[in-house]
Amino acid sequence: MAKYAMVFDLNKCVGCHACVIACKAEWGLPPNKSRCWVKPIGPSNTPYGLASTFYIGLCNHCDKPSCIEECPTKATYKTDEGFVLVNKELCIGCGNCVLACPYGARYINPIDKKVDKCTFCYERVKKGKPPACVKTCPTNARIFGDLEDKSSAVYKKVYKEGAFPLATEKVNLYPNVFYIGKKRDIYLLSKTYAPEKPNISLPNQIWKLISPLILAGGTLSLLGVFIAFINQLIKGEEEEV
Amino acid sequence: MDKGITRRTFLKHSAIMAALPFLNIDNLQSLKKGPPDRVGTDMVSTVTSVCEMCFWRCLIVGKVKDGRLVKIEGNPKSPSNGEKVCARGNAGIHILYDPDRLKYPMKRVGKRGEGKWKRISWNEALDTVAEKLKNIKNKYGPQSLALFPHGHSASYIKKLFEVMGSESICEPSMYQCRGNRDMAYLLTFGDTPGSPERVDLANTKLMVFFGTHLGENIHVSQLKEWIEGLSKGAKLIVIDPRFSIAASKADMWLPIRPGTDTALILTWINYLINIQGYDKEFVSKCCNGFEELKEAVKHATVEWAERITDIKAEQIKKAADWMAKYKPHVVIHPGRHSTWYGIGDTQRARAMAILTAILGAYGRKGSIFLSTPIKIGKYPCNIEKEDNEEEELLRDKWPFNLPGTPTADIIDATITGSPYPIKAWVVWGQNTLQNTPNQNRTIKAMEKLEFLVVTDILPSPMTLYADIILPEQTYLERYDVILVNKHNKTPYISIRQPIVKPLYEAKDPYWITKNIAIRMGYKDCFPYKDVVEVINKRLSPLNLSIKKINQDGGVIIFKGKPYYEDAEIPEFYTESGKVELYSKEMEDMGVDPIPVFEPPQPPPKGFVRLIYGRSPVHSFTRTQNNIWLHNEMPENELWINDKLAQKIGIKDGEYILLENQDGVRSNKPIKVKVTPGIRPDCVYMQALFGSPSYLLRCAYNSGVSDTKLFTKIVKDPVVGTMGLRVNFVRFIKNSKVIELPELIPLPPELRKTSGGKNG
Repeated sequence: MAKYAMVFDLNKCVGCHACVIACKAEWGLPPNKSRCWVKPIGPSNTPYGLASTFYIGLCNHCDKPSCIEECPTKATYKTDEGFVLVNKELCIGCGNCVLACPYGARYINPIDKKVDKCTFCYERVKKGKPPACVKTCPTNARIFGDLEDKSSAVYKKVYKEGAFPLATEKVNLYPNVFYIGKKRDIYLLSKTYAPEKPNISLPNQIWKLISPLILAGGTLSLLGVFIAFINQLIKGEEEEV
Repeated sequence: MDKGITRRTFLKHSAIMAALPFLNIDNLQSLKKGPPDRVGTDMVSTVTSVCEMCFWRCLIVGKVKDGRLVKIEGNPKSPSNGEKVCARGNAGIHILYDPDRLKYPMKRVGKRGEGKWKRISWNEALDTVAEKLKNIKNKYGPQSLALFPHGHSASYIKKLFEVMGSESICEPSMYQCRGNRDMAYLLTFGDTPGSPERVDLANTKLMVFFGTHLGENIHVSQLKEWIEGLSKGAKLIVIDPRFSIAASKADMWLPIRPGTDTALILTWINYLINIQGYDKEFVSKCCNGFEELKEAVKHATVEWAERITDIKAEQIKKAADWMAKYKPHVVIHPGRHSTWYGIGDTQRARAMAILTAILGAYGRKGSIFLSTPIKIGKYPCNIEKEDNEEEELLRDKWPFNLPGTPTADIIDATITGSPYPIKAWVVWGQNTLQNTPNQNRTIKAMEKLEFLVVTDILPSPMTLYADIILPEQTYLERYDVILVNKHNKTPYISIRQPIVKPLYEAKDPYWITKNIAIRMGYKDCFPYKDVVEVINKRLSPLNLSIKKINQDGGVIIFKGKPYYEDAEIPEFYTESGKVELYSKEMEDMGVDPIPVFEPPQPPPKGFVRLIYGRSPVHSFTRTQNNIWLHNEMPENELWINDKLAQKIGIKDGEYILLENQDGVRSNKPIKVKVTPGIRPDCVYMQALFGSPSYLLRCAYNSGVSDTKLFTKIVKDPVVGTMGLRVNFVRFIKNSKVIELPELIPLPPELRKTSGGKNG
């Protein structure tokens, strides 16, 4: 069984944002929402000298994803090949998973009010095509492939060249997105964007407690919408940033 | 995660928009929704074409679904970009579907600058333009008509101006960008470095960048080659006051004192000669004037350069030692935007060309490679150029002439009427207000005009002043010219063609120009039915046609000859037929035949130099209103040295107002980025944000305009280009002026300056 992963080569990334825009076009995203991102870091001093690099990110398609655990309707699921996907039919847009993700990889789509995120271009990959971001990347800084395949470039980068995931001892969801680069750039990235334990707000905690009842009853779905609304109100500001 | 246009700004802008008569309100919906919902972009038809989100012109494939463009990708057959396109290339869709687009011809009904227009027919628009231009030309002569062109779309109007005999053509790509560089290489090697620059980065062993923000200016094929070269182990030296993206990937970053590059280059030349580290064979076989060069750079010692450039002597030597070691597989990158300090800009590029020559880094693998000529048919124009009646043209005062006339000279003449009147401006896709220093002066000139016509896609700041606006098709809706890329190691021909049907009443540049020309009596210059016929006619000498190019996947590939053969003694198209280390031509025109370092004016007390560069998501001001690109970087930042910031109590993330040496203030406060990655004697921002056109809902006042702060003009004494790094700023916080201390003292010889010949 394949296990898909992506490696970012920071030596090759120049932070051009082509990946972000190709993804928006491919999946027709709302203009102000993205499934992946490019954030400049530095120039800053590091123990290894002056450095500047980029936090290029997307859904990490973690082996132990916190988002699945937090989803009350089981809309978020993981395929055998490692894709973390969202069944939009089941999604009620409660936003639990958005808060649960320490990478901020999810958002509520303002058009259908459901959660949206990177799928590793599941549909394209199933047809043997690279993800849209990988295809357009001018410098081939994005490497995609099967970690189970020992001849793949991602296998080499992860197991032979020491590409590492953005995780800490405290927060480790076993991501399938890895980074490789100069010591100083890696230092800067890990220091600036180490994942933090997600802070799930009170309404979500309540929701988590009562959701099994609702699902069992199957009639109180309106409450979910109400809670989602309250939740939106509480974290509305944050969403805009 | 997402940097959105905030709800408040969106509402504010839409309120302004809604008040305007020509705006289609339905489009607000499409702005919110983005392209229609769909799953992926697989089941679609495709059309090949040529990108024009910037001048690099990558080959693209447009994916069309139900008549709507849904995605742009690179053309896999392209020998340059392949299937890669940058953020801007990917975002072309949002220029096509930009709700702010100019939709039909309009005439001004308010005051100049107000942006109030009335819709008119194409007939009325063309009649008016032709009549006004004709009358002004008859009354004041052809020079009274000035053209401000940009890009492929202006090719045909340039033809018309050429036929009318007007030299009043202001090319920003020449006078505000690379004219000085092109002239310097032309005088040295008999050829410009090309556009795209012919740098063999993929095969080089050493790259030397002066500024040259690769990675921030995204030119896909060059970027690909650069990263490929680095991956293969090439060394990189970056000379820049700022720790740029290129510097972050460099083996050696030399944070040079702004404006002292020529001193460093002359020192390297001297050092390489002294250690016998130059390419003796190339110099003796191909170059002229080596002894004179040797003599002229004798004064340029490493110690002198250390004092002038503020770069450590050991580093200066180490860099030169690398050049000696890796020659001739060295790329001294000619750069691109090089109108930096006005004074000495051509001579700096000359020094770079001479350094290239003595390393033998020309026409060799891993150096500047050779272009491969491809001859398409000439533009089929059946009339001769009209004679100029004026005895002396504005351009004649410059020792060496680039095409057209320096922009600053045309603006001055428009205001003063001297030495001859300039009464009409034709602005074709150019944003002169933001690409030329001193906006008030440009506005003053426009107010003096008898007639101003603007052809554009969007309501740029220039359209606000236009008497007539002609809406042009985007590059995704039209044919225009043939793309001949002879500056690629594998040269090729391609064509831009419509990917979707044109929207609104917008027209292609050939149609617009032809219809003006016919009305002015220049029918014979446009004898063909349409642009398709022109393209096919010009392709025919090569037995090619649009059809044939399409059959071949949108590109015809030729065999290149990028390098000299080993035994070949190359011929250079210079006066002597050799590389001119010493330029007799320049001496004859009263210009230093070998570059001499002249320092630019230092910052006044309390000020630092304002420098600028590209943002990877923008091509000048042309992409600022693209909602996808705008959202990636809605505002620019001001880089301030950390020690300087500490000294004056400015913190990272704060917003401060800028004031330049003439008291002009920034359009609004700018966000501060405090970093050790910039020298304390300058500050940096990404260029060309903060559009003054309130009709551009994303671009308007987004970020801070660097060009608004450019009021001082210093011209290069050789070709008349305008230096843009000659302005200085200080900060204003809470209405209080903050004087900026001088943290690195200037050596006394840099305090004196000739100030440049100001034309």
